[in-house]
Amino acid sequence: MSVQLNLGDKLYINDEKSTEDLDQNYDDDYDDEDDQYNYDDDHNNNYICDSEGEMDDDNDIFQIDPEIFEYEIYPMNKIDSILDKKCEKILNALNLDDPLDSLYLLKQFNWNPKTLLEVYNKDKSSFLLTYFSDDNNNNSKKSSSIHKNKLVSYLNIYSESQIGSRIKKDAVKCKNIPVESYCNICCSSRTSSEMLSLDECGHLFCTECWQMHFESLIGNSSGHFFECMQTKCNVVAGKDFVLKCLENTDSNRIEKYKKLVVLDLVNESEDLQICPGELVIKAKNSIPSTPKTHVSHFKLISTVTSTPTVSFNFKSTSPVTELPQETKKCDSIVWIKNKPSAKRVVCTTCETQFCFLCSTPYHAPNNCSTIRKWNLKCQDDSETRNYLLVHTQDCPKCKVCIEKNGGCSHMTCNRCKHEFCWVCGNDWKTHGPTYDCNRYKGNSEQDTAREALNRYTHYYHRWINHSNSLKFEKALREQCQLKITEKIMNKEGGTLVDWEFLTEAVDILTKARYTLQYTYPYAYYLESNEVKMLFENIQAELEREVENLSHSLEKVNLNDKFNIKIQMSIVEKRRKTLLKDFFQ
Amino acid sequence: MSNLLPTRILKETQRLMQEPVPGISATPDESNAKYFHVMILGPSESPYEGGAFKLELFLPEEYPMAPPKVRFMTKIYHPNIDKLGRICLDILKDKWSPALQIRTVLLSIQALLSAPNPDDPLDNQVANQWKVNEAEAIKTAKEWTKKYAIDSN
Ligand SMILES: [Zn+2]
Ligand SMILES: [Zn+2]
Ligand SMILES: [Zn+2]
Ligand SMILES: [Zn+2]
Ligand SMILES: [Zn+2]
Ligand SMILES: [Zn+2]
Repeated sequence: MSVQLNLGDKLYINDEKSTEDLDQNYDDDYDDEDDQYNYDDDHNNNYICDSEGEMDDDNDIFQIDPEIFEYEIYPMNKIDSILDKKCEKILNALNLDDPLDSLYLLKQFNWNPKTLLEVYNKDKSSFLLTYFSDDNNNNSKKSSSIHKNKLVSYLNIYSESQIGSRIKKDAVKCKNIPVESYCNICCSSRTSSEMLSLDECGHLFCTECWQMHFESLIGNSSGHFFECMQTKCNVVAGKDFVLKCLENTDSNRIEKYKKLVVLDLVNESEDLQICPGELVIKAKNSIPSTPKTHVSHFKLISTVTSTPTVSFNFKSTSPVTELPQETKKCDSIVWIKNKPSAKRVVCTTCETQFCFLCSTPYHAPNNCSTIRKWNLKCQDDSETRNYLLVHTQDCPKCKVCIEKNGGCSHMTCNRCKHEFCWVCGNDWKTHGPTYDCNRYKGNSEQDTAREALNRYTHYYHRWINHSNSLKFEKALREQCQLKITEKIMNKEGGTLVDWEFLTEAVDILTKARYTLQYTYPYAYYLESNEVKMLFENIQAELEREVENLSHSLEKVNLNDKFNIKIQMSIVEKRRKTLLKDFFQ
Repeated sequence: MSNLLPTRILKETQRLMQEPVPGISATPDESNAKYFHVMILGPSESPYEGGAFKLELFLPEEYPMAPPKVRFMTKIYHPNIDKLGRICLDILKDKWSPALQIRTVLLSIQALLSAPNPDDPLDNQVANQWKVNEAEAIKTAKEWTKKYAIDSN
């Protein structure tokens, strides 16, 4: 794909060179804590003036874009290098030798070196006391051969990492196995070389049974930590033990297991996320996309003084015919550089745009739960919503959506292992026999069904309308490129530089309309009060400017350039103003 | 067919036949060695005393890596067993371990009849009744036992 929306995000492509550059950047970020976006003072001053003073100043364009979000995109099999960098950073900053210590510390801070270092820098001595006092250390080392297993499990998933190579591996070994052994699972006699046990519990079973046990779990689990086969033995097998048992397993299943390891690590890491997008691996007879136009390809000199008109005919842009495509999950890993928030990530591999926190389409100014509610509501007419209401619930602790797959009300969250009651949502442990969870908790609101529906329709209509317009703007953008090229090639007028602003205008329009679309669910859930009135004023202003710009772009004339430029900067200002509060 | 049967299942079946557990019988189906006809007698001093409860037990392809599937065929009034005879028992779900056996599973079900657990309910209506008015619930359980597990056998 040649078209890349410039969304103002500082985006780093993950080739070797830029990764190195980035490391440099990452380091810098830690040094200047106050100035997190590294904008120079001029811009900051502008920002402050603007927010107090009047509007429509050309300097508005420098107002910090609240949507800015820094991150790197890695293919899944480069996860080892991410962990390597994090550990290295901690080892250096805290002057530690044992890589295991860096793993242990990172785990305490949700694998986010940034928060770890913030706490550390606030009070170094008390930090060290908390995490490295003799007491603590002994405790953690004693109680934690299991701990160590769990930490080390995240190393060397796809390749030997630097940190991984520095940690002594406890070879999978078994002492004192009788030469003649018997496996209780398959009820067969085995030789000692065919038997294996986990160090921590010593329960011996044959490798074949271990293999089948793990294969079965890989097919049915959402995590990678598997328990010993012995009844009531809770000892957990780490990645190295499992992989040893899977030596004769087909590579697909091993890959699936490695993915489970990565997913566990990503779930535990607050600065990582998996791209939810899809990649086309084989497109049959794919239609080539619009050729890339690039400034440097054209060195035409303007010789025409007349003002040509570029018109865009929406109807002629038939969408690319959908051909049967083979796709696979993108599964790229996003590593963010700022604080985790509901900001936009654009995957450089598959171009999917999504919210960092919830992996659904980016949805500012809504928070993740609001947009989820809204999306459920929009599926109202189908049976899906009813199904979700009846059969799924969010885990009260980690908010992951859980499907009820049996009649039992005692639920255990697959992800965080939280146990709760399906009926009342309370913690299962506090849920004694006296607890009444059958009481009907309906709301007494007199909202008639029709009234509610009308209200909903109002917002839904506008939401869908902007969503449709966005599809046109995508076409508009492609046409824009074509028309510009055409006009210039035909020497009808203007140079590429003269027309360049059009591309930028479409970008600005698209970005603003996207935000506008998502203001409707937000407003729908706002309580009717002054805050809502204020919000709807800002929304109306943005909407008006977006429609103005959109209209101006439909039939554009070179004479309009100046006016359009002004419209562009107003739209930008409105969008930033609207989002400023949300991201504060 | 039985040639292909894993040693594990053969041995378990043999032992079930040769040293049956008191109050429990399990016989493999003539045409399918992985399907068992099970009978559990209601434990004494439980509302199910005197009843004979039919169950079916099926060993899935993955057994023993996956738990057996067990279901009550006889109607029973019990907070952890629903109308379809499905059983709410941890070892039949996430607490399953390949070291458990058909024998241990059936023993656990027998124990569940002795000690119903309304705090981990499958059938909410029954469980509620059990919590609100235990005496009444036990009475109903006895009636059901008489009606479905004694008379009809
Ligand atoms: Zn074995
Ligand atoms: Zn064990
Ligand atoms: Zn992607
Ligand atoms: Zn979100
Ligand atoms: Zn959870
Ligand atoms: Zn409850």
